[in-house]
Amino acid sequence: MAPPEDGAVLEPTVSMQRSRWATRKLTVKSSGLKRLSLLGRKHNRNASGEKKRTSGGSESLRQPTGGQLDGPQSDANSVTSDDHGAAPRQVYFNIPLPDDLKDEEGHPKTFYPRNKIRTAKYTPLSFIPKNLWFQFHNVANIFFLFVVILVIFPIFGGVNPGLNAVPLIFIVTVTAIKDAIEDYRRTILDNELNNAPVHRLVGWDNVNVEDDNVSLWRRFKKANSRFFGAIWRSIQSLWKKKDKSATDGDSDRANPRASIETTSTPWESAVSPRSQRMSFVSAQEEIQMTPVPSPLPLQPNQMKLPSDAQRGGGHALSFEMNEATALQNLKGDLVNHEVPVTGKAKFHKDTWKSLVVGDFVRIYNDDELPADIIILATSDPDGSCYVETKNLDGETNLKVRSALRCGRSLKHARDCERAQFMIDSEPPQPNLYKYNGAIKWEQQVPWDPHGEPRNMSEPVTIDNMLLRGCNLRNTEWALGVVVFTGHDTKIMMNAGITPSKRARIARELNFNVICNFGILLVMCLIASIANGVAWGKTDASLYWFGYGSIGGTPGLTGFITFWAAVIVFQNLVPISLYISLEIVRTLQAYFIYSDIGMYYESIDAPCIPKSWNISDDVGQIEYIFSDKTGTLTQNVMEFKKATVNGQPYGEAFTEAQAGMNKRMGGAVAEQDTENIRAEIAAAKVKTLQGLRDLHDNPYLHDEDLTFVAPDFVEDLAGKHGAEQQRANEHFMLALALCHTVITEKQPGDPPKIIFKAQSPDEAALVSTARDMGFTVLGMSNDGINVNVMGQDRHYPVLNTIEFNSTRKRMSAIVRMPDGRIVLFCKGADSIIYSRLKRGEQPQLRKETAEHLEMFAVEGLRTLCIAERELTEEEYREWRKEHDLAATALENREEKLEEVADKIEQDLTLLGGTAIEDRLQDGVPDTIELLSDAGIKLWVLTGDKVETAINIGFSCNLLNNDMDLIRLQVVEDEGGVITEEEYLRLAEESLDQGLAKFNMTGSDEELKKARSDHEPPAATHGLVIDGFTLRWVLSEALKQKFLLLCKQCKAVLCCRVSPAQKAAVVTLVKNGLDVMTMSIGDGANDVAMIQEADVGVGIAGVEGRQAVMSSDYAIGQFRFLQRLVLVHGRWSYRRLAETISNFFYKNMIWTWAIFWFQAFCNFDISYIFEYTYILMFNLFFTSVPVILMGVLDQDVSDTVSLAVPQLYRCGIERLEWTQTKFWAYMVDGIYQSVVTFFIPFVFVTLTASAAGNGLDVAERLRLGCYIAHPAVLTINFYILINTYRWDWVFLLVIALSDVFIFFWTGVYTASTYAAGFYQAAPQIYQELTFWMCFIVTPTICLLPRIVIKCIQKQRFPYDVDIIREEVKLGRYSDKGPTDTTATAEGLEGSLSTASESSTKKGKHATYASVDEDRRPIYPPSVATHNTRNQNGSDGTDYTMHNRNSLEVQREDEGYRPRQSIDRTRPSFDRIRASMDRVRPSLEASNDFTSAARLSRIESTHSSHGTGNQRRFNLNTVRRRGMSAFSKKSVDQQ
Amino acid sequence: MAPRRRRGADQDAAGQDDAIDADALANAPKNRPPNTAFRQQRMRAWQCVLTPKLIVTIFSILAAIYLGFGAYLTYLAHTVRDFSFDYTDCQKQAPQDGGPDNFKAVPDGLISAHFSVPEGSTLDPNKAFWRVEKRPFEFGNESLNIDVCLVRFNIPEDLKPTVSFFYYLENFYQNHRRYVNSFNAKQLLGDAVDGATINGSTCDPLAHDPLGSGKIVFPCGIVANSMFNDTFSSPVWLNVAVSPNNARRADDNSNRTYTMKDTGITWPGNKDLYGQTKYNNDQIVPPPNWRDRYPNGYNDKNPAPNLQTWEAFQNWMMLAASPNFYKLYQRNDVDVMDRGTYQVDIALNFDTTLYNGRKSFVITTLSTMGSRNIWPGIIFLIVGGICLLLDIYFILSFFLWKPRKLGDPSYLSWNQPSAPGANTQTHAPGGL
Repeated sequence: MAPPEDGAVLEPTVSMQRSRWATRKLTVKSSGLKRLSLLGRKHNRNASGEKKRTSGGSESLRQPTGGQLDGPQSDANSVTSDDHGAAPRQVYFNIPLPDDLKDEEGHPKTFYPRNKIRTAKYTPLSFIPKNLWFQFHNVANIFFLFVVILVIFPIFGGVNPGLNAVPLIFIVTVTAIKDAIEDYRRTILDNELNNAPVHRLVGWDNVNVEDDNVSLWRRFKKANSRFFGAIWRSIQSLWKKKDKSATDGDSDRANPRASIETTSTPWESAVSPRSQRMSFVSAQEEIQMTPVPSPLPLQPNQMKLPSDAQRGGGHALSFEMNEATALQNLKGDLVNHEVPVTGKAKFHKDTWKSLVVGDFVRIYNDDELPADIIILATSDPDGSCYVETKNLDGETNLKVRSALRCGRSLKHARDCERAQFMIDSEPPQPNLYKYNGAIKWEQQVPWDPHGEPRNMSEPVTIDNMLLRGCNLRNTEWALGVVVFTGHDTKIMMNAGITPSKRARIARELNFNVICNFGILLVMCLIASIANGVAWGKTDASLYWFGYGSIGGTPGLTGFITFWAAVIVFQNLVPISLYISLEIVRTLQAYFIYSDIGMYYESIDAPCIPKSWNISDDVGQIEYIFSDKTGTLTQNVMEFKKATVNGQPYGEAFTEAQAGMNKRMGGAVAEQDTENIRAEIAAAKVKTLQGLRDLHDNPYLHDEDLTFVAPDFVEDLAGKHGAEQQRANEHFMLALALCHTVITEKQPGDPPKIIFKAQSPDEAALVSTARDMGFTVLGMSNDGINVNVMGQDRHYPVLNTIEFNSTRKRMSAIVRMPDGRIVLFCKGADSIIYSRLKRGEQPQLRKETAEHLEMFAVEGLRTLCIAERELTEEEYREWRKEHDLAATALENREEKLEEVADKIEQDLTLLGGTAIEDRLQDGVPDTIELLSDAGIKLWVLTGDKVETAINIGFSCNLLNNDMDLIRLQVVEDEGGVITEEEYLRLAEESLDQGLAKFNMTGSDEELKKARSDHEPPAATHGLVIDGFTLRWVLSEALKQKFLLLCKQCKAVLCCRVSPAQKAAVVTLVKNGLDVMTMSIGDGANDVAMIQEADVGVGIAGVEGRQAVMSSDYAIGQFRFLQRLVLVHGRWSYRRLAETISNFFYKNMIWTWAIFWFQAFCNFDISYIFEYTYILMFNLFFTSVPVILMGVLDQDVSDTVSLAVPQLYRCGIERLEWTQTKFWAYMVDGIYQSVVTFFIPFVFVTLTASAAGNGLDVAERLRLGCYIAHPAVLTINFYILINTYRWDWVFLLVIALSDVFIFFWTGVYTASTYAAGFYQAAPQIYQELTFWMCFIVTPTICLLPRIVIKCIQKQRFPYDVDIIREEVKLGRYSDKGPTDTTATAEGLEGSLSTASESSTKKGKHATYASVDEDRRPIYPPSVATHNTRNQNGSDGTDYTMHNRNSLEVQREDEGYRPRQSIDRTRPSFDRIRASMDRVRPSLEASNDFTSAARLSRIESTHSSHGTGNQRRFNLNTVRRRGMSAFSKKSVDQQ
Repeated sequence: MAPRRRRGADQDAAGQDDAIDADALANAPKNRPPNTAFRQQRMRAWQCVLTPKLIVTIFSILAAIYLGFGAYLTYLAHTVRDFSFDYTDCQKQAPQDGGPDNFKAVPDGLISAHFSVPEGSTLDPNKAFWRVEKRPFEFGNESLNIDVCLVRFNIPEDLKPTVSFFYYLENFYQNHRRYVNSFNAKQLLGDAVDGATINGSTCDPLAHDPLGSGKIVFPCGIVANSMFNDTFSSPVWLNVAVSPNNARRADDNSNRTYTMKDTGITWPGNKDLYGQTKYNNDQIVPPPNWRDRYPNGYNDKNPAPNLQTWEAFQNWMMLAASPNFYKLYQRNDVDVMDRGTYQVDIALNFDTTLYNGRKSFVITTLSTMGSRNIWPGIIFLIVGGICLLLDIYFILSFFLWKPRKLGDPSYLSWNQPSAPGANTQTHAPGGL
């Protein structure tokens, strides 16, 4: 691949040629069109702007994360808006800015956002005001502040202003500290990122921005942060003595990195791992090479900006036609060699934050991209570089990006100085897959060396861009210019602002708080009026003895009383509630953190709650949106099975199969599963042994072997004849030759070879070839070195036609050692089958198709391998065509594809492979469990449709009985279809889908859907891709889409962008008014994680973005079941109960005071001693209610997981309802009546309630009589509302009750208590007190207890029944009841209640055990022969030759195949299980894959590329599926 | 990739294996949460499941307790004998100046008495007589004629000590916001709190002399000022009304005073809050309402009262919660109050008619529950009764009428026959 293919070199060389195109999501043609249209954009900008305005429509589709991403407007032709931020930008390099971009003083007009990104909310300076400002947005806080102010004025009867302010100060401080900690973490991360190093060209004038353009405010801020930073550091240095060496790093940074120019040693870490790659070497040489001076005579540069008329599409007119063509073929070069070099410009290490638009940067291998950059040159001579976009779209494979052709001559800093060009860029927009721009420069043409330099331009697309957040991989360096910085970058435009989430209950609480405000208002009004009237009377004691009212006039007095009442009754709007809820949620978070059941050992990660205040939301989740890669799957591809020459090989037991087995077999299946696992372990031993016997491959590492196939090894050894041996060898060789992986040798003994590939599948294939003895050692510049069974061989590769998503195949043309030219092709089964040579190998193809179908059912990803032998003639001819296409400037990619299509024909089938996209442990179980709980799981993935469907099957989201609705609007590649047409198409398919459910998408249906929380029946699944999603998410269609999705058991959205993910979440969240959760692991999930009510990040090994923006970080997907079903449910129930009880307890207390007002003319005096009022919410009652919110469990975690249905209660939000709130409020008022009047009757209706006749009817002593039973009542109430009484709880209840006695005793022992002095001994000696003390709580609680008793017995809740069952011991032993069918398989048993800790989950041993870790049994324990009862013909060990039945074909290409019958445990097992599922599947051949594939073969017209493209797996599978469902209907 | 995964599986397997050996624990990763009962929320606990048996047991116990106590409290209330007489309108309705024997029967409704009147007793507790006379009272150098209400009433039973004498005010609010704070604790304790301090204190609006002398009011504040100052004599046993069947005293012709003391009428601890004031008499003035008692203010002859020993004042300062309140005035802890006719003389200093208030005096015996109050007993009996009824209902309902099988999964909402997917309502708490 060394020489650049787009050079003028046309003669075929021996060197390998790669048809490489950048990995993109765009279809080829449309991008080409876009590019052309961009060139002419200037002219019709206005027109298109208007057009856009009229198009409207989706504009109203609000997408919180950044406007109309992906909407039609984001097309290049339209200018989204006229404001500054969205305006298209022109960036100039080494050209002075034109006047219209400058203001009067010559400063650039446009300001670009800084590349410094602050996700933190506060700076040290702004923290206090801003935080307070936010905090006092809370209505309750304002109220409390107001009350605090009121208390300051003694006229209102406030007792102690200082003390009164304490709770408010406390809550504000605690919240502030929490915010500060949270924000501090964010700031640290921001700083880390902003100060990350990047190599930026300095000593060079960037005309686009002004250096001194730092506002005063920013300087002030900077000074401030320095100041606070200095303080912080000095404080830190006080704490720990750090050695001074730490600061040396700074001086390092100050030292500019030597430019490449000056030192020949390149960037150390950049030494490419691909030491075999020749291009690397040549790149190195080129770096040191001095630029070739222009062959033309120098001329003073007169670069001037092309006028509008000359620009874009118009420029062609100014030239003669032939010159235009010549110009097109001219190799563009940005470097104007005439410009003198100052030599000052150097690439220096600088921080990310100092990058500005228009900077040159050099990115080194593995560096993260600091901004959106247009690549001008890379270390690769053909200008390509690899990039990992995991942070953007979640895909871990490498993607190719290529440098602009015109910039490839740039190598050095001095080149940059001389490069004069201008980039015309579209405004920043969030679509990750599109970019349109153009680079323009002037160049001398060779045929007119003395003439005017010609205006040149080249389109810039997403292929030429490196986006912020990506990582450069396998490329030594890339040089580019910054076009978007900071918040203009695509990743930032896709990211939302870090939202501060508030729990739903917290939001709903506002309503209740307002209700309480209402009640408070009423109480205060009553008090105020009654008091005013009382003071108005002249015949009352206060008139005679009161010495005048407080206000002077009765009216004013009443008014003052109103505010006094506000102070006294302020507890109705309980500030303590807010404090307590903070505490409860924090402790809940602490226990979530503590759960060992969610601790992921391998990365030492417990579940980390990042948001402490939304644990209750986790208990109401109805929809979970999951990412696929890294979340459901491990993103590990393992080669599991293969079919070669009609023989299926490979033993595997996938998660999907295990699930299927379990569903069908129950307890029997469990044993079965164990057996199978043991067998596989044995087979692995056997395989390894066989391989070692065959050839002691140093590259084979026992633990890495995934392809467990002893029979394959046997056949490889020739046990079943040379025919099969040859076939197997050939197959493995094909795998070893047909790929684009990059090898990396890890030194060691034995050495290890690691493969890096664009897709992990490819790496898996090559790895398996390695394991089987066909080790790819590396690529030379003209071929591949393969170690075949210990023999090093070199295979010259003539051409590689790489994979892309439309082709779905890749080919390599190899010159075999015997001189033949063979094309190996691998690709999707339908693609390959459609390209097989017609009419050949019918038996083999049928069998292979059957095998592939089996593999697919197991949840494996299948690929077909085929070959074609080319004659020299054929090849040479094709090569010519190919080279022509490769050098075409127009439609190069389309042409290349066409050429590739020509050669990939008439293939001969070799076999198929099956790769397991390894699910994370326990994923199917978890999904099933969540589904039982009534939670709907949607998969939103950036991945391909096929992959997503495959995963859907393997994790039980989809099954064969489902009717799969495929929403698809095919993106038109010609750009002819209008938006309206797309919308119409989308609507049509939506309507079709809805018709299946007899729905129309009306508002009534939506209303009904909102109230219906029942999970849909497992009859339909829905698959949609990102492009279609764009249309169905439009304002007009989204309701229909939502309703349709609601009817489907499973929804898979594929190829969706981060913003679309968020949009889907928003749609469901707002559309159905439900609680949503998003789970993901990559930066592409950040938007949806932030958008959902609860965001969960998988703390993977790579990428922390998701985790950082999530609310909960967990290690594995399966922990979701504990997080949601156990902790979420608990938290929700606890919090609902806590809040209700809190309102209740403040009700009873405050209303008791209110009732007393009836006896004091509503003059607002306390019945309780003031310290009681202080203590009440602090010590007497708060701790139990908080503990209830932290410790209560209606059922234990085991039972929660065993009976996931209990979770539905949360989905339907039945634990916290307005009814419940009011019930508790009314109960509180009733109890306040009892609490006040019973003691009142006891004490005041008699001359003396004391046995000695002394006075206990004194106000505060009566208060004692009331307060003690009130506290007891409240604590008892909390106790009976708590399900689980452990000793901590009981102790706290007891202590709280005792505390009021204790406090009274202590406090009244001092004369400080004044009138209350010695009340305790006086009261406690009275019988009346104790009688009161027992009867009051009884009367208070009686209604509640009676209702509870009747409810539990007559109208039991689900949870009551379960609790009874628990009591009966049903969940404590292994014997599952019918409701516990799902109980097993939870590794939750690890941390279950003590009584059940002995229970071992069924899956406990395997769920997370890697195959390599499975116990290895000696082969004799489980032999293959033990299991042939499946009705297969495998019992026949004779070499039965099926060939004999076949008609011998005359075709030479057809080789008679030898069929080998043997035990094929894995294959037979699947076969058997499939038979069980669909007994008549084989009978109706119509829909078997064999029939399907042969149909493809027969209908395929060899040149109809358009047709065949449609034949992708999903359509095929859909057919198969609907067939299956039809089948099942037929059977009924 | 492979090695990483393997490591994960490795440790994961260890994590799954509940039994982690010592080695694993030793180098356990630092983030691993401890596997303790508390941290894992699986402490031993009692799950309270309300089974029918438990319910019935609870209610049986409750019924027994409350019926038992109810009976006892009712009995206690009935052991108390009391006599209460409302003398508010004495000045208006009682005959004045008609000579010492001009007693008139009091109108109905002013007396409330609870005695078990012996058979044939002529002492009708519901009949009483009264008259008003003016008597001179000496305060310092001055003498004042004050109306005295003489009340004759019958006590039909011997009252066992302790016999307590209360006064009872209705419609007098001792509990207003400003009122309850209107005193100065330090001043009461005897400290000579200076005027500046008093002025700014809670004593407002009665901190210093309203007449303008600038002197400090002692005791300051409106509580002290409003002190109830009717004075009651000890009841005098009248010979005249002795019934003939009271043989024991038939020969004794003289009136006998049943001496009641005004000490021990307040909580002993209260004297810790009061002291002999350290003010000089010329620093202070009495509150306005005390001027009759101290016509020339405080002076050596008529000095400021010693609050520490003045229990009636201390009682007054215990501010009643209710506008209708009793305060102990005097008591006799030793002697039996013989049945017979008694006379109590009341100096009428405190006019309650100004504010529609009423005043009474009460003579009562005490039980452990204090004076007579039938309501506790009734409340207990009602509660006990309700519990009993509920208990019966529960027994019938849970065991006889329609018993429900405990823990029967078929009751679960998702096991209901009404087809999955249909509107199966989750049985869950929506309300209480």
